[in-house]
Amino acid sequence: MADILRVENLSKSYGPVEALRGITFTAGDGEILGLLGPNGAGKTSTIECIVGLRRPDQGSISICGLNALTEPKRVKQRIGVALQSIALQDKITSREALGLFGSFYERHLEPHDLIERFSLREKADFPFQSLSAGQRQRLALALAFVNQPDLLLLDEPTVGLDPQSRHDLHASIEQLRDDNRTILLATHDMAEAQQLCSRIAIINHGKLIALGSPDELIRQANLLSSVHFQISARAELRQIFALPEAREVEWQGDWGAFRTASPNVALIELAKLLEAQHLDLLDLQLRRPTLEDAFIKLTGGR
Amino acid sequence: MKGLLQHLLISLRLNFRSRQALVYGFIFPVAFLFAFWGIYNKSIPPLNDELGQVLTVTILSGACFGMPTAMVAERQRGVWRRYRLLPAGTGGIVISGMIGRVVLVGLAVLIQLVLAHFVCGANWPAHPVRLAIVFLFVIFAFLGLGLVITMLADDVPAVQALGQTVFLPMLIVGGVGVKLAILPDWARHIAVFMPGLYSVEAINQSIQSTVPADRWPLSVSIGALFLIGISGCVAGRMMFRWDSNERMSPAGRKWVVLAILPWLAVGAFAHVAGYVKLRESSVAIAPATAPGNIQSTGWQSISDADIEKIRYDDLLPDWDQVTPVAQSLENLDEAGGARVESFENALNAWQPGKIDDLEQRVRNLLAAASISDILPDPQEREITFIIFQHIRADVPDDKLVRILAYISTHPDSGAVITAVPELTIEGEMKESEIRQRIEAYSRKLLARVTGKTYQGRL
Repeated sequence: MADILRVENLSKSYGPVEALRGITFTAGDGEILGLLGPNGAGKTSTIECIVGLRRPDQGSISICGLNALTEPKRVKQRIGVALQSIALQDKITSREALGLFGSFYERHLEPHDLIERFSLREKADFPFQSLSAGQRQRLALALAFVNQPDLLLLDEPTVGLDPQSRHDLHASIEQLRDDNRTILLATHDMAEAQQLCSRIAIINHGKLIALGSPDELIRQANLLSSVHFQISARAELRQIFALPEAREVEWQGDWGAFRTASPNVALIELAKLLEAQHLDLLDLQLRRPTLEDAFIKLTGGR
Repeated sequence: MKGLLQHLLISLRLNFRSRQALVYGFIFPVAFLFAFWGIYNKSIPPLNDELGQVLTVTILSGACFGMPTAMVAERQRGVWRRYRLLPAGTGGIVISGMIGRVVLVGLAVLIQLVLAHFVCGANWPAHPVRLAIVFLFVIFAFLGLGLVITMLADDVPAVQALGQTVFLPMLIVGGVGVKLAILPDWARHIAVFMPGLYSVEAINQSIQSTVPADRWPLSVSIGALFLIGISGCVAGRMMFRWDSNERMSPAGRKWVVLAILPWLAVGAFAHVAGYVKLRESSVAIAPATAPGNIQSTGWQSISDADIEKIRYDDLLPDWDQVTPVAQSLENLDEAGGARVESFENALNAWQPGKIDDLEQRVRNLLAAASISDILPDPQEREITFIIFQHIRADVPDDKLVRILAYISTHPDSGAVITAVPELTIEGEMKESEIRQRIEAYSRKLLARVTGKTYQGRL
């Protein structure tokens, strides 16, 4: 997979505040790379440096093999950007905005095609001020896609959207991924990142602290699965403490719980133990660690 | 290029969708035109001397309020930030916005010219091509200024505040709202430092068929406007910011000096080159001492149709206490006869009644009649009778009718003598009162020359 985006040792300071401290990552062809981090971590600064809104103090950015810092105009022909909030004139219509933005690019899609693709037909000729939040974000995505970019940069595109609009927007992003577009998606929504991204870069305090697929990040965080079970008799099974794979065992009434690094092995051992004690298993829940757990652990939060 | 053209077209389209932009961009200029027409409706042809001011106000407000307001509002809501992500050059979007403003203001100016002609009866501009070129220089100068305001202002209220600091001085003491001719000396000295005056001068020289000799060359105005415009544009470019949150550094603000420097330079040049003095000489210096090479030529723009439009029905009868005229010099007693004879002798030797500038010469003579009326002089009727005869003998009728028509329709023009002790008339009168009398006397004499009558004409 060829690298569409290559960021190396990116640093940016605002006065005494170091927003980015030597960030390095790549995004391959057709990949959705999530940029995950708490508020103020440096996600937006990273995107702003990549798209040319800010000049980094140090580092290099290469997009489709072009140096983004020395060839910004050529790079802009190859990228599409949807910033956190879409800003357009109140009276401009979606069709006009798409036509206007498209006219700046060497290759571009016709407004009609974009209107169909991003489900904007209903309000295509209405002024921007009359669009709902979801419609505005879909328009922002359509504007970002107007030049059929090789790299799309989306900065928290679903913030403030209702569940239905969010779902629709996710569908549009997935469609772009299916078109083999490379997408850099900045978000602090774990579910969104886990659903959409093939790899995730976690940024905290301006530093890249982890990079990998959601599963890799969970493994990297070294988190345990938790097993909760209910048995027929109210009896504490001291033997459970002795199970080689069970840790942090707790009892609450007829419910027991423990953590384990190997749930398969632990569950077999638990079943054997219950069988030996002639106890019935009434309920069993296995909770595997999530990306959110990994994120919290990696960023040092609770 | 295609993108910038599209941006220009969209900007124009959006402007016409904004009620506020239509009111400020088109309704206000039309209202302003009619306000000027209401104030200066006596001049013939109507608005001949005022269109320069009217159009300057339109261009000034479009460039220094309209454009910065639109640009700052777009920048404030993040539209410019989004544009920055496009593969267009830094200046492309701004230049497209400026060209859009040229089109909008040009349209407003065109509407004003059409209405001035068809509704107010003003002449079409005598030099339309020159006017179009001058318009481009004027709007270039003001757009440069507007660009500096755009870069300085963080939000729309700041545009209003900064715009007023430029607009109001030009309107009041810059020769734009108030005519240079009626400004006090100190204000005339200030006015030459402001681009508004050069705009008024250049536009008037494109609209009027003849240009009074006391005007500085058109090239001076054009040069001043270009210098002011180019410095404003360079300063605006250097102070450029895409984002309202992007604070301007103190070094950035220093570029304001570059935008202001040409104002000082052109003002100083106007003083050194004697343009201020030249303008003063026809306005404020006693006409008798005016340089011989100065010729008022405004009267040459008066046509036969203009003369026909002049009305006489509001003139007071010749036997009235105000603006009286004797029917003859007969029936004077001995003292009166002696007084009239001494006045005639003095008049024949009176220098202000002999100056080369015909228009001013007639105005001086009518001023003497007016002073004798206001005092009043015991022989005021006879004095006016003698002055009328003197003028008719002195100035050929074909020129005299135009001069009198011009003086009556341009009561604020030229200089006015306020005391004539050399003519044995003692006392000094107010200029405003004398101008009123000159206006009435010019029509009374015009009626005599053209054979018109009015109630109580002797």
